[in-house]
Amino acid sequence: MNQINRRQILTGAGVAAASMAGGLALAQRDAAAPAGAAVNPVVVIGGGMAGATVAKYIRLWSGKTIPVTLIEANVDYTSNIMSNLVLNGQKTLASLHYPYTTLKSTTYGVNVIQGSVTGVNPAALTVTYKTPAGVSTTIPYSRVVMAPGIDYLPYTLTGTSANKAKVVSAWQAGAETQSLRDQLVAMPTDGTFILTIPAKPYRCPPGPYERACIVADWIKINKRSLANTNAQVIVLDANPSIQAEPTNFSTAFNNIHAGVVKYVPNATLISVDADTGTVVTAAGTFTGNVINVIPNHTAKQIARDVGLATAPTPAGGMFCPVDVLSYESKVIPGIHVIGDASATTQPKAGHIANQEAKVCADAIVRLMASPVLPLDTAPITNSACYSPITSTTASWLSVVFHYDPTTKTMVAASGQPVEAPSISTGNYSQMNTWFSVLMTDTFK
Amino acid sequence: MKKNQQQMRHRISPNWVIAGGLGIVMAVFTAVVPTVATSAQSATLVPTGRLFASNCFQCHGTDGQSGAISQLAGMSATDMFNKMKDQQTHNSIMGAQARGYTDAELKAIAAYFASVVKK
Repeated sequence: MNQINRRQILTGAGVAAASMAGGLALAQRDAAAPAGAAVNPVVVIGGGMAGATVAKYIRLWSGKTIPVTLIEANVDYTSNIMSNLVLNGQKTLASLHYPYTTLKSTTYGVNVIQGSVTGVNPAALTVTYKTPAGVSTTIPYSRVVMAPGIDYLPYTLTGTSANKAKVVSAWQAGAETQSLRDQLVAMPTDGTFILTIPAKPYRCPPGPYERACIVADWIKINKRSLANTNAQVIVLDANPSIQAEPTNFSTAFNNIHAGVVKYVPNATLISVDADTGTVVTAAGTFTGNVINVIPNHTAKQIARDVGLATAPTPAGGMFCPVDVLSYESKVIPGIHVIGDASATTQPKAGHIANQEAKVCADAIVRLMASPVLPLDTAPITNSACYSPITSTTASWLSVVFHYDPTTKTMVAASGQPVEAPSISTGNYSQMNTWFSVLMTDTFK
Repeated sequence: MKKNQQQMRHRISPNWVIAGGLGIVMAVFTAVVPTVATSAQSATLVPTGRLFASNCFQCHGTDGQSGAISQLAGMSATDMFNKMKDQQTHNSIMGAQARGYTDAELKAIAAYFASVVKK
């Protein structure tokens, strides 16, 4: 790649950026930079669905003139999408790994660094990260895109260390997903699986209901005696009702998996005793053999530490308010937040994170063009996702969002979201194609 | 400066930039970089309809190049618009998506994919 200097990309940026939200600090920075100085990279923090997409599209849409550095703690990405199919043995965790090879290649030329970001200094315009070997390094940035994902809020968990370690969320695909699979395989016949669903907002609204269906489907075949009439999948939902695809998941719980799934709304989690498998909720106390707790969510620690997360949720989480025309933080100029850590009207999920990333990439290309171009004032985002209901059938959910200039939020199109008219094998087949192309658009 | 603008307008039509895919975009950038940028040049960086169209990339591939579902790159704008209008009547995931766009938005998307050379 040719060496691009500030004059070539950022000519005029100082003047125009000053008129835009949050542009003042950047304008001051640009004015202070010597003409001809090399352009500092856009530093992307986190290489999940949002981070990988924004890195790829900034490179693609700037004709590779804007340098991009992506800092990610893991050597590759493990897909949350489809990871419920590890639980029923249809997929392996290994099949869900997505390397950064193509992003790093000359096709895109993203500088991918394995490391954990320990700090962002918006005054000095620097990011500090620590490598796996423990070496701390500070690099300058022109803009930051935060795509760090989520952390869990603590909850009361008692028991021995060994038993507490078995109470996993498996909501970030990886070792916990395998642990949950192994615990299901080891569960006694007619044993009980308990799943707790966090209060909204949480990652992947249909995901927990999908998990309940997939586990119920697997238990019916592998862990249920003919005489058993008890429910073996207890779904303890902190929310008052099913949060996504209510028609199809109701059909799944009441018909397809009738008698196997027990759905309990308003079951705010109070405590878990890992030794006895006891789960105490606002809707009663339940006991099970395998306890799968998905705790309430908050933005990842780095986003909170930097001061970006100022929007509280009723459950005690904190997320990052952004201008959805650019995903630039409403708190700190020059830092954009996309994906699950941001606070918007859109769901927290992989498909829409990919599209938020494209809106953000388009905005950054405009903001770093010479001269600066005005932002697109009417962006559209979308979400389309499939949920397996059994090992051969699936449902889907579709929604398109438009920017509403009055509320300055993304608003679902009239009559949306829409769920599949039926649960079908055709949907299951389409699901595999959708997943494959989505991951290619994100990582390749 | 005026001469530069005229040269650049001549050298970089939006369609040409899009048509060539990344390779030609790079070539264009190589040509552009030594000059002081103008608004005409900058406009070529953001082709009309591209951000709308990028909503289709997740299922139809980057720039509509994946044939796994249907390849949108290089489709005639009229064909694509008509197909989307027909899809709006279907009770399918594509139908649900298509119903989320106005006619003007669908036309912008269709024009974008028509400008992309099918690989």
